[in-house]
Amino acid sequence: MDNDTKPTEANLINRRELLRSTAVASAALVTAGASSAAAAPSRRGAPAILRRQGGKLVVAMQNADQQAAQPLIDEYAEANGIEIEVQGFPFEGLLERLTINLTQATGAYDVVSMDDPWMPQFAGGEFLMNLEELGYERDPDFVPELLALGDFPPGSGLRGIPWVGNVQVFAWRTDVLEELGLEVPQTWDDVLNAAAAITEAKKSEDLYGFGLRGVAGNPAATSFLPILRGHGGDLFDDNNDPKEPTLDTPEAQEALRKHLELAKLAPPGVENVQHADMGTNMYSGRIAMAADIWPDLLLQIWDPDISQVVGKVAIGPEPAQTGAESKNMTGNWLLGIPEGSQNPEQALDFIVWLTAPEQQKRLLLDNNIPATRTSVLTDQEAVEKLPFLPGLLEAARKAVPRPRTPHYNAAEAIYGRYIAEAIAGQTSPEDALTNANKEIRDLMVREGVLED
Amino acid sequence: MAIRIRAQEAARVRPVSARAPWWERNLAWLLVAPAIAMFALFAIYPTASALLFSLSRARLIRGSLERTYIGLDNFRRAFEDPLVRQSAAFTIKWSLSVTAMEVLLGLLIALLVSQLARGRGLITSLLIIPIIMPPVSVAVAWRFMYDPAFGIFNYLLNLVGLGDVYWLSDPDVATYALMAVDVWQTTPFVFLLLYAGLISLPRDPYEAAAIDGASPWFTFRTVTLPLLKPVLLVVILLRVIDSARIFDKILVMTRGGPGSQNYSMTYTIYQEFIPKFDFGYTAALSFLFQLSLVIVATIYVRRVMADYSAPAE
Repeated sequence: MDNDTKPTEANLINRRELLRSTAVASAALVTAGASSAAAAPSRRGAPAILRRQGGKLVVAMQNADQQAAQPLIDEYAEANGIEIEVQGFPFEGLLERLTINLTQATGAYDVVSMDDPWMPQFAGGEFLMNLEELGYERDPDFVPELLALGDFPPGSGLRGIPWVGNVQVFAWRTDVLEELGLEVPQTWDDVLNAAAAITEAKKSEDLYGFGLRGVAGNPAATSFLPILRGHGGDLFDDNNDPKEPTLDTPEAQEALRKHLELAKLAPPGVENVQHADMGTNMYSGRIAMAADIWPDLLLQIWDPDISQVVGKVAIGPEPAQTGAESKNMTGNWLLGIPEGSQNPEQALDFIVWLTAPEQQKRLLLDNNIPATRTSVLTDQEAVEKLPFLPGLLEAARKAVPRPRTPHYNAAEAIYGRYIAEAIAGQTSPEDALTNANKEIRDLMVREGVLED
Repeated sequence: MAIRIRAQEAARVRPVSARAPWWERNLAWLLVAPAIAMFALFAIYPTASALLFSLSRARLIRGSLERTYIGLDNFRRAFEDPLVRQSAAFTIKWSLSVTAMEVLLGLLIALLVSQLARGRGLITSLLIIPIIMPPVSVAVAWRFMYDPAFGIFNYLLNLVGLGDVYWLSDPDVATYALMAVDVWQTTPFVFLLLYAGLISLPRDPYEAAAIDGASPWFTFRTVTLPLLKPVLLVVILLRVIDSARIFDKILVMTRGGPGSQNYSMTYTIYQEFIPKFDFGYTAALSFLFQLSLVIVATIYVRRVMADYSAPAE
């Protein structure tokens, strides 16, 4: 036992030897670390040279878009002898990645796919390259309202090319309206009356008059905005130069009151309905009308393999109260080149190729990506397969983006939560809008847009 | 006794000579330096950084992060924010409820399994499965099971003639439906710890109780519970802290809904960061949350576990 614990000369020598060895090992590690550090720039530099030679593109996009576009991306990579690494993220993950990488110009990505409400932040902050300065020429075949989404501030040059032509539309079951002798609703009062009649008549068959999303944040906000706009209201005083929030107006109050009435006419469980559920509810024949239908859902509704309502659904402009303007909302995805990209010429070539008419048509017909070009939306073969395309084009021509401010996402998170709380009965509609308006105003003050 | 003698002998280390090399004179510091460095890097630095951020308004600008010192504004805002108060109340309710249910169920299962003559290994192996599963996979699976239209629960309810329940959207049900998932996944963890504690208890007190003719309930109350108390207290502490950090199940299953009813503190912090990217306010909320947990854990260890925290002589 003594030998185990008592320090002896032998133990001390061993300890010294051990420490010497440790010191040598540490020195080796430090040296290795220093060598790695010294080698790091040259390792980073080598791929950069390769990239300039057209060696590799790194692309960031949403998971769902990646899965759809991957066959075409592979085809481009093979034809051009380059490597394309596509990194797919969920919606919020992509926003986080892009916000950090674009603002910090990390050069991590050569091509990025962005939701159009993000453009004021990324294009407005000039975190994206001006594609026209890189040699891009505007193509009049793009739906003008959609192409304009990439030009922010307007007139400053294109920093994004739309490649996923998402436009929110109003959809209704023609057979149900016809059976019940109802006209196609033009105003939100019409929608409410028709929804009440349908729910009353068809609830026993598990068919409800209206569908909307009630999950806090983007889902609830996106379902409410067309109703708000259809009452002559909006989130901010000026959609192109938003400053003062306008959720405490009588128009907004009336819109929310109607929104909550419609929520009561929706299938039970509206509080937990998200985007995919809207599609399921529509194509399974559970809802007869919805104002929050997007092209990816239309493609499902027209898919005979899954849909029970093929040929029974029509789409059109969002309803609007008398005196208010009908406004469909855009939710396009645009491709841009971040500042710091090592390979902008190749990146632009890739974007031009992917948004060309041939690829847009293939993306639409084979991969369920809605087009952004007039020629594709009016293409005879495409229209025969997807008869909703003319309606989608009409909606696109009336499309209005969400308020063009870098702070829209934050504002949406605020009012989207309050709308969800009102739907869940957690707060009164008056308090929901008053509080949302106050919080958004506080946000704009903090961000220096408004004075206290 | 033997341990004490060894410690005393170890303490009689030959003093290091003043002529010894510097590294031998500072050997103790050199040996603990890596641990201190790691602690500083991964604990002190992030906490200090969060504190600095929480005193600033920070925004991403081209190529850097612009920070403006604003004092305690973020903390003031946090204390005035009704959503923060609501989330804190939810987190306390959640943490206490799921911990109570998990400990009660875990203890019950541990007692039952410890009484089995055969099959203990098999049952223990089966019960480990929920712990192994990633929380997100569990949440996705339960979301499907809770689905009002095609979920198994409503199917079973309909079989016995009961109507549909809107598990994740009915404000009266959703919180409990979420809790059930957490209890399902984490009770086996509690069971494992308590079961390990149970089977390592000394047998003598039980034999004495049996000779005295004590009933099973009396034996449980006066023998098992007091002997198991140190393990129970540790399990409760672990579960209170861990359950307060609930995030993944809420995100996947309801995104905090219905409304904002199920916003936990971590979910609220997440919502402030994405999509708002409010670094300063997020840091302040994170700091307050972390501080609250440290305070709760410290009080618990000092007050509740005081009798068990001193090393045995």
